Amino acid sequence: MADLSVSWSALEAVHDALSRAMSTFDGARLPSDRGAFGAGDVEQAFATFRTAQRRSTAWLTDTSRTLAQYAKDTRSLLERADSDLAGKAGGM
Amino acid sequence: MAADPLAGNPSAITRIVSVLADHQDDIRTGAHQVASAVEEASDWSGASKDRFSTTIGTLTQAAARIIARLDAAIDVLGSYADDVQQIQDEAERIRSAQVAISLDTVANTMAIGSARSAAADRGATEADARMVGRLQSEADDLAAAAQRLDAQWEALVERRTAADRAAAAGLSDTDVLGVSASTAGALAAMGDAAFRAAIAAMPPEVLASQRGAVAGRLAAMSPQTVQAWWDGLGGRGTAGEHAAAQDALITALPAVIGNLNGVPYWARDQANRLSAQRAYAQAEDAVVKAQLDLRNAVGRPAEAAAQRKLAQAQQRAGALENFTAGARTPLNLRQQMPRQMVSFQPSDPPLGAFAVGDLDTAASISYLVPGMGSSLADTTQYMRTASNVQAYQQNLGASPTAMVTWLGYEPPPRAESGDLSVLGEDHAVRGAQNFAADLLGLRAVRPDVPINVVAHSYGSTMASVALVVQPEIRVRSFVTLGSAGIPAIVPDAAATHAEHMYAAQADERGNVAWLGRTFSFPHRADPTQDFGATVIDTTGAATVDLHNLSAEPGSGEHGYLDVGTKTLSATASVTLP
Repeated sequence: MADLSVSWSALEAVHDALSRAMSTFDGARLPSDRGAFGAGDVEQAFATFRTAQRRSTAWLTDTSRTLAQYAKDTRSLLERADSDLAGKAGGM
Repeated sequence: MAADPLAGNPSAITRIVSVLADHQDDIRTGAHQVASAVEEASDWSGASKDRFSTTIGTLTQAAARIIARLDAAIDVLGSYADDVQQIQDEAERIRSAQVAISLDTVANTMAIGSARSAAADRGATEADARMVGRLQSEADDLAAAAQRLDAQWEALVERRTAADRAAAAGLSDTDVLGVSASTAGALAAMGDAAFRAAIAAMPPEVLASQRGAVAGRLAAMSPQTVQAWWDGLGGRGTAGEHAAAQDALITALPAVIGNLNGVPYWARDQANRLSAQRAYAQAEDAVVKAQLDLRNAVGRPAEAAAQRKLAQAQQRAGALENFTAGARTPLNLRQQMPRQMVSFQPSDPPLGAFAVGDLDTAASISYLVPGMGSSLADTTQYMRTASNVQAYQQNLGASPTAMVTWLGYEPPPRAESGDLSVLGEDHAVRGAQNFAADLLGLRAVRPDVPINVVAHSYGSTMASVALVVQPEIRVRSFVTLGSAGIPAIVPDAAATHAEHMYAAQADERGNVAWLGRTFSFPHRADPTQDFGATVIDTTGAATVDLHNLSAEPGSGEHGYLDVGTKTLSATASVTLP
């Protein structure tokens, strides 16, 4: 097993940083062509590119959210384990 | 169709480039924020950190690739805007010249007419004749100039066609899409082997962008094919150690991988946790929106409708919250065991299954199948009840069976709601398809592991149908607790293909199971009565007196899997590895 070292404040900071990243990715807007090209094949290619970008960016958003939640859950589990251990120690 | 050199708006294309650059800046900013999270995590080490580091590594790399793709797209569109601008400038010059020549030609034609009249007059001079000649010569020059301009226009049409083609090709390039357009377009038509190889080579953010073409294709593969393909990506793997391609699939296609039979359960667990977290976040957003809609609703009918939507949104969010809490809810175990989110469907209602135990390595696997009225909102309660079985086995000094709390079907609602579908078989028949598919998926990857089914109430109705239609599941122990009745398609215990069938029926307060069987239509059998099942005693120091699996603590009543009951000890005994 790897060396275990956990810091409450570190997990909080990780969660906050990733939550900010999630909001940033989520707020990133892609342009629409609105007839700017005047050429059907370019419009089609741009639409494909735009969809791919939108989904890729959504993946960044989702993964940031998941990692932020993971840090939060780890922090909660740490708190609970600490309380459980304190309870057990009290019963010694 | 020929290209129009004047079509399009170069300024608007330049604005698109500008917005793409802003988008790129946002991705860059987000990537910096991710990098700061990595720095903040420097005081954190251990297995949980290792898992975190693996995924966050894919995130920063993906952000860099997306930024590079945007760079490539910006280059393509920037050049295209310049080309279109130059072509339009040239087109306008040609069009102006053509208009001027047209006017000159009209004037020349009129002048020639006048000159010819003058030249034909009696008093005409040689000068009049020369004038006709000169004007005719000018007409020839104008015609030649018009021809040159037509040729220039044609060349410009060609130039615009080439510019359009180059832009379309550039936007479809691998540098821009992350995958060649031919690969993306051909995924659906590829043979199985080529398809599997193609998606194995895709980074996660590209896989996510192609999920429409990938998801259905993967889901249609047999568990054996999926297993062979997955293993070919870098072995079965474990939660801590696995191939980058496997990680990409988990994070990019969690809804697919999480329910894909043939994929190891550690990977399904990771994928389903992603899916469930996303679904929960969306459900919370839906609650906020429903609250806002209720505040803004005007008039009683609108308020009532908004109130109903809010209640539905809250119910869904509550169910998903409880399901995700299965990862950390306290259990009744003496020694803790790993947990796996075995399946998750963000359907309406959401469905899923949560295991306590490692399904990839467990010496035996038992499914707890609840009955009417159960939902993901009860996940933690059922997991705690299931852990009574494992705790009993741990107290015997045995390695416990892995327990899967299976909430993968929509059971009938409680009869108290006024809905009496619990008396019919429709929910059982539909649910049996899901249950059989999940058990067959397990059997495909664990061909020799003993599988047990512990089914409560209507869960036994549904499970018996699954077992009778799919003999290859090969269940070892099939336990029914307070059965709502076994359908006629299952005439006796032997028809379930289980090695052993056990059945318990308590003297329940309210005779819930009895009512369910007695008024069922078509009529369903009591498995404790001449069915061929070994009957489990429900009396003793802790007599089962409730239809539920567990009673309220301190109530003095007992459900079928409460501590101290013979039904718990018997269930634990027959599901031991």
